[in-house]
Amino acid sequence: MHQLSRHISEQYDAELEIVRRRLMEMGGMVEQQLRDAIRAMSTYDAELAAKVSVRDHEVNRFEVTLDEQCIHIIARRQPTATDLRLLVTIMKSSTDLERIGDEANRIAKMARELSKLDYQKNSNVETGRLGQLATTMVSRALDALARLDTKEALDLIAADKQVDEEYRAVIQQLANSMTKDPDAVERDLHLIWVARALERIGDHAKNISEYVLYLVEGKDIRHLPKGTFGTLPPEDA
Amino acid sequence: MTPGLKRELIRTITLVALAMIVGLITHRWSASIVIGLMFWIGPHAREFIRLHRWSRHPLRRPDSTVELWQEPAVRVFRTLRNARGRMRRILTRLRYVRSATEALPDGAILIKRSGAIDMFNAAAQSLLGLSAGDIGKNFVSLVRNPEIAALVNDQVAEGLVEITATHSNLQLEVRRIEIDESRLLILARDVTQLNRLLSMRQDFVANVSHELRTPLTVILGYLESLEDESLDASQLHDLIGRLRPPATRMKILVDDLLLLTRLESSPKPSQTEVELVSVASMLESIVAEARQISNGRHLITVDADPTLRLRGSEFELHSAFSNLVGNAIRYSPDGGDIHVRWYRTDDGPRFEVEDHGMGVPPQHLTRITERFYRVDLSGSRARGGTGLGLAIVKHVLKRHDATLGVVSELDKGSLFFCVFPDSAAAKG
Repeated sequence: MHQLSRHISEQYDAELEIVRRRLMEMGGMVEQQLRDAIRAMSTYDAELAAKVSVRDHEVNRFEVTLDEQCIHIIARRQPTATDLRLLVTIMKSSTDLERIGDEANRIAKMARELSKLDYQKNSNVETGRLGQLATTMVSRALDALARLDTKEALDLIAADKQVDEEYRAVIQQLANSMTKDPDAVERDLHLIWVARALERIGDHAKNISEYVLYLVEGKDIRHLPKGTFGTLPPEDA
Repeated sequence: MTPGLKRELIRTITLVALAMIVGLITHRWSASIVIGLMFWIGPHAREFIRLHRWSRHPLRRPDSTVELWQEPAVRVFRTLRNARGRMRRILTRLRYVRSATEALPDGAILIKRSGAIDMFNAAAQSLLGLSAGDIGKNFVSLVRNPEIAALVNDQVAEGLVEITATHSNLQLEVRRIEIDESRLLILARDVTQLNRLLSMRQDFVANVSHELRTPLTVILGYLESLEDESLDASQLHDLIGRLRPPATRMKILVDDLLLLTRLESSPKPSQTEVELVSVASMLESIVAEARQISNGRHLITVDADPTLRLRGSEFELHSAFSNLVGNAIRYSPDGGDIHVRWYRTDDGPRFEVEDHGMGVPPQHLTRITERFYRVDLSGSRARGGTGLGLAIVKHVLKRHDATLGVVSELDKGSLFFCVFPDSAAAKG
């Protein structure tokens, strides 16, 4: 775990601390949205789903103000090195968090649609595990960012594979279900959207982990073929 | 004046006197003064060096020979030693208090007003997902539930929130307590179990009301028809006859509820209720009753060891066993064999009811002993069950230190068995 250095100007320190905390606050909000959306899906709770959609506006506003605050700091303090990377990380992470919020909103919308169907509601295809994986990825990514934990970040980048695998399995099951039970196609189509949203959430969590590595090590590992970055685990670990 | 100072004074005066005498005698004043001074400084110089050496390990007892030097050194040594003793006692006390907070099942986290984590106990780690290196980090950045942020910022009425912890998935009640101007105490308690019990109670009340309302509605309906003055005697008789089944049903339900309450109110049957029960003859009468209810649809066999008696409450055991046999009949609508057995095993006396009926779907197996839990709602109520039978069985067995087991396959049948402790068995 690393510590960010302190500055002679306490004011500057305080400003950086504020934006760091606001990012975590946004993270907490998004985690809650995701939890609520998934619960609305499993309990067919249209009211909860509506709450998620309303809250999404707050999440979007948060991203805008957070980015503004970061830009102000950059303009006023002209930061370099770690500080600059920190601000860049915060701005990029806020974008990924906002997207996660959007996906959660999409899941909530699907929950509303599903609650309108009646007997067809209960599918044999379980999206619960995919939901659990996605939720865990987001929490772990935010933890890694809060603790500047590069080991956890690396583990997460590898863990995204699990999410992709589960996603493919769920899609396959849904495809089978649609051919076997054509009356329930509407329901299965909604579930496909949900699975897609969850898989995307996993990807955004992975992005945040990549930013942690960037912030701590100063290396940009995005889009590198696997194995180029020395500390990544081997392909079939 | 300390003894050392006194001695030193005497020594000095003696040396001065000697030096003066030698000087008077020899008229060599400078020499005698110099020699006198050397005798005076010598021991002091040596002690000074000793003191220097001692100061490297001030916790060792000083051993100077010149008392004048020893006295202050001993004073310092004693002060240091006492201070060390006090510090050790404080540390022991601290460790003692810390072990108490570590043992707390509730999570306790001390945070500074800035939000930085100061200290936390083991429960806080497992309930909230904190880890050892998190000291100094911002609490709200690690426990990100929006309610927690509001709690820490004192924006919550009563300083209390309920959250679902991200890492442990438990429902936690989190409280904010002001310690002083620089610190806050956050307490987190696991209320998952409590919430579950509360919702179970709500469900129970709802279920009982529902179960009673249905037959009541039927009775009220018939009563209304009875108000029709144009009915003749046989029609009246018919209607009155119809009132009996729902009333009986309500009575059975209330009897079962009362039995269940009684079973739950004390952990074991009282001394006066415990006797040596002849299970074999109890089973004979239970099976006879069962054959009446079955009315020829089932072949019911009983294979009970007449020499195996059981220490317990006859009334409760009768309830439990007849409930199990009753269920076997109720859930074998298409007939089939039902086998009742009572025999010794290595684990203790064992009671079994085997049927070849509907069976229990595997996903329901862990819940069938819950009150009012039904696998197939419409069907089983029609079969006359109250939904309380297995809950009664479970409690009776618990009060007799026995265990309940089920083996079941859908559409093939079920085997319900009870194993009692060896100590409850008796020969008879």
